[in-house]
Amino acid sequence: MKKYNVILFSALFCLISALVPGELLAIQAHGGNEGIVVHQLGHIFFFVSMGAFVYWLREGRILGHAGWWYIMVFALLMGVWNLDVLLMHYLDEQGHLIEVTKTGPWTVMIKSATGSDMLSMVYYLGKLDHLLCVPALFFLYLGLKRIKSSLESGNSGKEI
Amino acid sequence: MTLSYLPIFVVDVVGSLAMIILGLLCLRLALNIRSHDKGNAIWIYLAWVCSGLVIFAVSRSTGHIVKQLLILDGFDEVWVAIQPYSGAVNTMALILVASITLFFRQIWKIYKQILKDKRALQLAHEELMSLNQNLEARVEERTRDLAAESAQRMSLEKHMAQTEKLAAIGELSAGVAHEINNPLGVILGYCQLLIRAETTDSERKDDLKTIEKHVKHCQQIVADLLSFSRSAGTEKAPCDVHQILDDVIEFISKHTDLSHMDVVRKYDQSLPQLHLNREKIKQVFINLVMNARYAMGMGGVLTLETQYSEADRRAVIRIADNGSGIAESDITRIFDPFFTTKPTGQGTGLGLSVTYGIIKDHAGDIHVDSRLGEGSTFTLFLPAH
Repeated sequence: MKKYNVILFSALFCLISALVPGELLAIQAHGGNEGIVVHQLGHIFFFVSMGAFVYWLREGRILGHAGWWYIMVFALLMGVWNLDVLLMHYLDEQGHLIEVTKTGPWTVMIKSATGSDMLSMVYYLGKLDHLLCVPALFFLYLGLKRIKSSLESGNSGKEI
Repeated sequence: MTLSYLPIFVVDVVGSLAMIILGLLCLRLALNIRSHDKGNAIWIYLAWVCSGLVIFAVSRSTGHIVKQLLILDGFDEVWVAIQPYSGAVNTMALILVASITLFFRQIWKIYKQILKDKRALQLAHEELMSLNQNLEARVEERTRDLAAESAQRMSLEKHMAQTEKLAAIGELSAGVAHEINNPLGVILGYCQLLIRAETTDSERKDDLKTIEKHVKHCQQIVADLLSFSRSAGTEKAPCDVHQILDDVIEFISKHTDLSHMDVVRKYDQSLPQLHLNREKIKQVFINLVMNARYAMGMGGVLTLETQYSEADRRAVIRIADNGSGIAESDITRIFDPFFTTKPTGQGTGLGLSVTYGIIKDHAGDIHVDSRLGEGSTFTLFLPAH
């Protein structure tokens, strides 16, 4: 009896649905600003993970071991880099506070919505973000190198 | 505000290339580190982080370089078409690196636990190895202890058997001595009456004197047997053992030649006066010194040593010689009455039996240590009341 009730209600639902049409909302659309929001959230996630990494390195007293201090500097610089890139993306694509126009082969005009030259200068300098992430990777490289040489000399053994 | 685009271009392009190169170098190092200990969770983690960073650096840097080149060549619309894909890959790489990084805490905990377990395992292994290595030594040590215990028990059993044997012999000797003593007395009495009845130095009188001499000899043996069986009463008084020893040496030197013997005295001056029967103890010392003299034959060193143990309230007297010693097979029999290694006619075999009886009568004990060809040491233990 219960089985027949289920079949009956299902058939009724299908009939009503067919008679009363509406918009297809089953799959969400991903247009508009979603791309930049996802990317910005990615940077925030990256920043948080770097912050947590630095905190755990200090908490776990790992910094005394060879190479780990450099790895901490890597994490700090990557964190700062994320903040910088976060700001640049905001100025460029979210806040639309900066307008960049090519005025020649090697010149650009940077115009802020507020008219502030300071903001234009911050944007210009912020665009040089590789000055943060490249040193960060260099510090990671130094840290790994120290760990490797320490392992080879057998000073720290296989344990850290 | 018009600014030069060159710094941005140079930093972007060179920086992007540097990111790829450094990322790859870091990955190579991380893999190298991991190869040192492939099971180390931290090294595995670093290799994962570096792998993520390489993916991130390659995706981002490629996008940046392509963008700069396209813009520089005026293909802005091409970049606009590519940008969503480059950005999407870039975002995914970004999240990938961040996600891997966030595993650090768990990895660190796992690593510490592994390390702890490893140490515990190593400790257990070392302990096991040590036990294994020491097992043989411990078995040997235990075997030695057991052998020592067994030897001690055997020695005790031997001593007890000896004591029991001597006690039985003593009892028998006492019975025989008492039974013989009375007839001997009667024989001696009548013999002496007959001698008195003889007026001249006749052959008969000489015969009677021979009988008297032998009866007296028999009486002496009986007296010795009684001494051994401790059935004769002893009167004791405080005595200076050192004085008795000196008197004995002087007495013997008057009657026999001691010039071939060196007498060494090692007296413990703390030894108090002992409650002894002076004459009987003197007899003990005479017996032992005479035996030593006999054992040393042509010459040697006679050592007289005393010790006093206040804790045990016991005097220890040692009379040692470096003479011929006693054969191991004879050691258990030396205190038996009539046992002697001397030729017939040179000893009755009662000297040490009498000595044993006297010492026991003083609630003491007598031990002998001897090696054939090296000498003998008789140790007397006497209570110091």
